[in-house]
Amino acid sequence: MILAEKDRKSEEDALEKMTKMRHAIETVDLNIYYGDHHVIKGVNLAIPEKVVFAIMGPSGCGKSTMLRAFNRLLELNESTRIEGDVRVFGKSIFKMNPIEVRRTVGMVFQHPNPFPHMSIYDNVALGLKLNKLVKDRKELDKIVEWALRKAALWDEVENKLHKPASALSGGQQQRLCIARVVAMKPKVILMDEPTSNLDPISTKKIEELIYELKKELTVVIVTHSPAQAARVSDYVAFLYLGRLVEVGSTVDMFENPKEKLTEEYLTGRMG
Amino acid sequence: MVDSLKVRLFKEKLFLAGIAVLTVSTVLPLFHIMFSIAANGVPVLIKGGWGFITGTLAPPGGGLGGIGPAIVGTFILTVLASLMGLPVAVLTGIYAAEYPNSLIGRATKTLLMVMMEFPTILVGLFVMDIVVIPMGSYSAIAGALSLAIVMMPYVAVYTDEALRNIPQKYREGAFALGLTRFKVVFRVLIGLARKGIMTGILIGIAKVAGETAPLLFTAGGATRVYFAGLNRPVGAIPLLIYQLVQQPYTNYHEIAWGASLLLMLIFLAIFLPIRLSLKEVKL
Amino acid sequence: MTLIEHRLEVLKKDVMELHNLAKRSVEICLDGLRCDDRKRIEACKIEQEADVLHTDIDFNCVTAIALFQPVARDLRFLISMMKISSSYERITDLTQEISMYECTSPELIDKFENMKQSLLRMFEVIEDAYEGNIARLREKLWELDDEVDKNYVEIIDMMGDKNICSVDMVLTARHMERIGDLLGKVGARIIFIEEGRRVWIK
Repeated sequence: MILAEKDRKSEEDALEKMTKMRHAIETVDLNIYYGDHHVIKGVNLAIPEKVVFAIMGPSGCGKSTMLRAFNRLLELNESTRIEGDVRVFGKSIFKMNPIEVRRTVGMVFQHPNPFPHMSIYDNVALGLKLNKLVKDRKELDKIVEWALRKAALWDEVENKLHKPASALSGGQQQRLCIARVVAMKPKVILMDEPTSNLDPISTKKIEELIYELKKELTVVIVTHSPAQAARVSDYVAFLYLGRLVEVGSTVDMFENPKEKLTEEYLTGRMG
Repeated sequence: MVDSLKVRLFKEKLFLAGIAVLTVSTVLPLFHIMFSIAANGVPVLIKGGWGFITGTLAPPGGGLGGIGPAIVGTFILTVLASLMGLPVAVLTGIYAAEYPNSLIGRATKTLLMVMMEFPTILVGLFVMDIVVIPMGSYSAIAGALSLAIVMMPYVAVYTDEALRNIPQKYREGAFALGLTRFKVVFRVLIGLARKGIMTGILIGIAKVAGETAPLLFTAGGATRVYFAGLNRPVGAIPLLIYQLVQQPYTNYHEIAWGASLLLMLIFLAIFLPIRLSLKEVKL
Repeated sequence: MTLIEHRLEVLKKDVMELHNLAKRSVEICLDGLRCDDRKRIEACKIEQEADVLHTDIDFNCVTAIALFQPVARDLRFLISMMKISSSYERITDLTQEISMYECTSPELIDKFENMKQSLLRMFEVIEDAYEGNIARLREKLWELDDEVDKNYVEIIDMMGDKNICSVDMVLTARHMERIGDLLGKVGARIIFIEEGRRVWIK
């Protein structure tokens, strides 16, 4: 009896599972141009819901660009052009109001960006207040506490909610940004290299946080560290020079990648 | 080659000495002015006491009286000019920062630069033409309008710069929360830029508090009446100095020195804190 | 060459050395059965060398994993080399024991020689596989292991028929059958390195 049969089957199962699951984000022949520069080339990706999906690849291969297309943030830059479609839970984001897209699909950035002139409380409440999602002060208090707990920051700031956000450390600021996004109760959170600028302990805290978050929503994380993708994600896509090289379950990809290019990247033989 | 080294060192010292002399001579006039004004104005203030600040102008040849109307006038004109000019200027600055690539955005930026250097007396003439002449008299409104026009480009440009200097990550972060462009600019970015915008406003105010040319044909000047109404002439310290210096009476010259000292003090009181509290001031 | 590639090369050389030690020990173990004392001493020396080499290989694999956090082929390579070297070390243990036994029956010795030939052919197949030639590796090793097992069964039957109840002989037969299994495992590990599939050979 060949055990290999079981191996192959489990791989197929994982991929089949991935295609049959409900898709939080789907791209259909996505092409992105920066002026004349063709940055993302014909990417077809299907990201299942309630998983952590990593997008890894060497720097400058378009990962962050693609991520910003998912919440229509790319449009802020006038020199970008998008072809193809991106769908969130089946609906094309280009048929939706960008504001609505961004409320469903939140984003955390590489450089923590809590608004420094606002208090910790106000930062978390900002989206809710300005989008008029919550009117009652008591309810707002509850949501702010809930969001800060979800971001594993409540214990550290509950006594200083009215201090300015700039008083926090880098790792705390990033968790504050996560709380700010979580408060809006999005269905998907995009994370663009969220721990690149943080120390190892903060990184670890945030990775654990991501593990908890995926119970309720989908996390798409772009990372330039394959090790992080391995630690944190359930599924991973390898993007190289704007093309999708391989996608699959993290376990399979890291034990036995199918593409030679993926193998070279993971074992550090690239470049 | 020791000799050539000695020569080079000497040349360098000479060069540095030369630069030092030139620097001092550039700054010297400022200190001379400040010293002269202080030397001539302080005795006047001491002689006049509180009355100098609260009283009205003395008759020619007799005593000091006070420059109260001019002080109040400066204040009224500055406030009015701010009310008229600041909102428009800040909004202009915001537009230029948010739409830098549009035709209007680019044109605005250029035009603002031009307005900053524009001869202020021409501004005064323009306002005279459209306000003073139809109204039939000098007025506070006219004076305030011309000061507003002088003030606006500074405030607008500072606002524009302040907004441009906000790191891109905050802008992205605000949009990513699903806020409309209006809310992003007015509820988040303005807050972040407020220090720069305040600087622009204070600089604008400091500038127009000491402007004379725009007021020559618009405000009219008032020396004995504090405030007669928006459509009536009003005084201002620089205008008063201009008017008094041309008079032949020595007491008027003394009053002019006192007024100059007051003007200098007001200007420093606004300008020094700005300069000291900020690390960079553009323009 | 990257740091890890260099380490992997060195490791592979060590494992080849261990492979050759194991092969040599299989070549000479039957001479020990024939009471050749020189070969017995050699077998003991080989067993000691193999112990040391195996420990070194084990250490190098663990430190490479700790330092480089390898994935994919590199990881499969290191884990497999640890297990392969363990198999070779076990083989030298078994051959050393065989060489210390005594056998006087020429029929049995013949049968053992057959088994030895099959085992040596397995070693060759494995050497080929190290070069990258893993086509039909599984089938070839399975066949050869079948031969070894066939001989084993025949020996046991023979001893049963002729009522020869010699502990040494039974153990020798058992050990050689075991060596066949161990070599099969080595082949399976090589397939895992190359293809990432887990197979059984038998």
